[in-house]
Amino acid sequence: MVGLCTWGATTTGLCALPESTPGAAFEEANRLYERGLFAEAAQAYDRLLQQGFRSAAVLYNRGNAFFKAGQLGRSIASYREALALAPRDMEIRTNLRFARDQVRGPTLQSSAVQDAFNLLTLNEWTALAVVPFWITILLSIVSLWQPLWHPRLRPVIRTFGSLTLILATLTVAAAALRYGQRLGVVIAASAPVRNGPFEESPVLFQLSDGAEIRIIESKEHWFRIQAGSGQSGWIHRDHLTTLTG
Amino acid sequence: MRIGWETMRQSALLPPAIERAFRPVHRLACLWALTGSCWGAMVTANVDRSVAPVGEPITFTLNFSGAEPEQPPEIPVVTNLQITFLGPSRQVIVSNGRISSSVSLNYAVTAREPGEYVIPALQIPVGNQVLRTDPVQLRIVRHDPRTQLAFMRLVLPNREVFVGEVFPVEVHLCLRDRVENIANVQLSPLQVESCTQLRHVRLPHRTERNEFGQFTVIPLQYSLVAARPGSLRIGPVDCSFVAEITPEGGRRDPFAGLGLGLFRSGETRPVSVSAEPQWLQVRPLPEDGVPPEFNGAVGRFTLALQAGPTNVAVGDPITVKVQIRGRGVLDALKLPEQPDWHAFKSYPPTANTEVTDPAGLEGIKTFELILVPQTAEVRELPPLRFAFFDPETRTYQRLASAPVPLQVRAGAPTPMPALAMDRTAGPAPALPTHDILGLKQQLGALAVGSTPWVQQPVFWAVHSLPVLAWICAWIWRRHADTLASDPRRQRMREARRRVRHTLVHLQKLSQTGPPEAFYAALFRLLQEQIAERLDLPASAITEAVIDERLRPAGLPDDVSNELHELFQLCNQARYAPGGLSTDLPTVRRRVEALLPQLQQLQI
Repeated sequence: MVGLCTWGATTTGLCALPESTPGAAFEEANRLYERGLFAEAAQAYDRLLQQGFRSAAVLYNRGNAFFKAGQLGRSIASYREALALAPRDMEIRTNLRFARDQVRGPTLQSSAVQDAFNLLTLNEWTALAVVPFWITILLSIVSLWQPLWHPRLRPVIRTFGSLTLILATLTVAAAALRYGQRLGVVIAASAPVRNGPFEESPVLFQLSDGAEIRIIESKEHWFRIQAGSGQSGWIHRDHLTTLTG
Repeated sequence: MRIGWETMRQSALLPPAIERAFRPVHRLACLWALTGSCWGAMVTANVDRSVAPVGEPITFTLNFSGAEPEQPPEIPVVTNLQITFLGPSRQVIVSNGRISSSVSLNYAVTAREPGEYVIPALQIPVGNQVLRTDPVQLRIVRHDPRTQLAFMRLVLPNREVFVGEVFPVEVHLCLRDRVENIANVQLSPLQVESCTQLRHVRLPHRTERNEFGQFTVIPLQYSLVAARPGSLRIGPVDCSFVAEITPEGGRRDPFAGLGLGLFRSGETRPVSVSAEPQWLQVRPLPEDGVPPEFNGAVGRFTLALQAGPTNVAVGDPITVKVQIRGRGVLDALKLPEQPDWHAFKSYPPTANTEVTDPAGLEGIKTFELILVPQTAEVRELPPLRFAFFDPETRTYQRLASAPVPLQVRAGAPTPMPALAMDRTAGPAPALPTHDILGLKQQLGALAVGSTPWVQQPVFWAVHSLPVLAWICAWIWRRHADTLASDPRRQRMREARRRVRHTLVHLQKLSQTGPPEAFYAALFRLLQEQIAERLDLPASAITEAVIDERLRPAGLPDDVSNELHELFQLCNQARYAPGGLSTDLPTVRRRVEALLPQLQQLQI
């Protein structure tokens, strides 16, 4: 018989890498969703976010879980947060549009200009402005250092300078649109909008789950809001979730 | 116990000195053994192998026991065989207290042409008797790897395979029985054309006997899937190793097979073998009779389905577990669309594959999916339909599970948002005809901090740097331009710079000397400083300038006198260095006291 003890070294083996904690938690949350345990899945995604694992995928999947769990407002808020991180993600845009289509009653509609600005994140707008800014400054310094090159560099400096101004203006506009107004989404099945910040104040109108509103001011547990119909009034803080950035 | 003297000598187990000392003893023992057993003389003829390729020598041996011919016998001429006498070898055997001796006469037999040969029976006179041998048959073949110490071969399926079918290819490493052990095995990857290699596994080795001898076969099985039809090349594959070989006629190590190898009497030899490529015919799947639910599965499968719970409300999830068991590419197996399940909303299934054979050809794939009944009219879960192509029968096969009875009651579906109507709300919109898109399966890039760049101080600090650099460059340029447009100022700056340098030089010279150099430097310093004040070239400054230009310009008398004295010291050093003051530090201090007064002079 031939001894072959050394042979085994030639065969290859698969090396299983241990899964990272956020990846495993994400998988587990997805599994809960696939089992139809949507509320539990949403909680699992929430835990991931609380641990600092914030990504467009987690927010998007949480939006899906909220939607399947019947929490339309929370799903819209989650999709909007996901969109702020990945503004050109077609899946997020599709599901947000689909969720918005389910909202009954008045809701804030974004304009085409806002949609155009929202195609890029604020950091992407900033990066777009910063690049020509640096080029302009560097070329200007070169021009000061070598005055003989100035006539040749002047048109280039002017072009990049103009580009910097335009893009900086657009960046400021994008920042103003994003931070100049506070937005919120109704998360209650029915949210009464009152004349004043008191439970005793008469109800002006009702907002339904998922309605997006603009927040004008706040007082203790109340927000003064403007609905999509243009009407304004006071809504209790518990009926609303505010959107971040 | 057997002791082979020649074997010991040939394998160099005894040092030459010991061999020389024991040679007489050995000869005596041989003589005694021969004389003691002459009456039982016999001869046998044999070869080390009966099959060999053309040109490779075969060892033909005549073994004499009990007697020994005086001359090696002549072997009759055999056409196309070349027979050459190599020499004798002796053995003294001590067995169970008996001593016997034998002599082997070795011949090398080499054939020039393939064919069947017979070395005829020999009649050999030994002493007063004639010993006879039996005829020996030889088979000479053309070159064949199987005549070597080791060879490799590829074993492909003996039939055509189909695209998508998983099929085994075996690589056999065949080792002649003389190979005791192998080590340092290096096996190259199997080269395959347009095939996906799933996995490979080593099968238990076996013994194989053929016309060339006995071999140990070590099989390695690869599982492949053809990706396209046509004639595909499989191979080559190479292997190299170090073989431990038993010498011809030597004993095998009884422990070698256990991997212990206690008695390493054999030689080691590096061996390289290669299996030539072979061609495999791959056919496309037939286009006729393709079932509508066929989605590319090739192999042979069975289907089982479980569903639960079966008593649900509309909108409640039902977990369906589908098991597909069989032989095929399980990893690529997918569930086909089920048009009969239109009354259910289905979610993408999760899948788990369990392989049941080492080669990965057979196993079970389990799908788990969620179905949600949409109406209360649902009475059963319709059969799940699955189709595959069976390469053995060359036909498409259809499978269907048994329908699962369900009790679906009306109830709240998966809770859609409870929407409050307001005064402006219109009629309730119809239920959506489609659903949201599915989950993302990749966690994606994590957002590091939510604060945008424009709100971070670091961002503004970094981007203020180029602005500061530009401001510095602008100031520097303005300054350079101003200097360029004012030659007098430029000259004065240059003169001040030279005065500063000369003053430093003067300080060094006041301590180290020599005095001549000190006073020369002092003269240049005075020239530079006065020239700077008068806006004249330094070379134009002499002592006369003091009275002609400086005193009228308002230079105090004591400063003028001091200046005269210093000029005179310089002139003395230049023209009469013999009576020169050597208290240089004092002179330097006088100069340092004078210079500020000169610099304050406004002309």
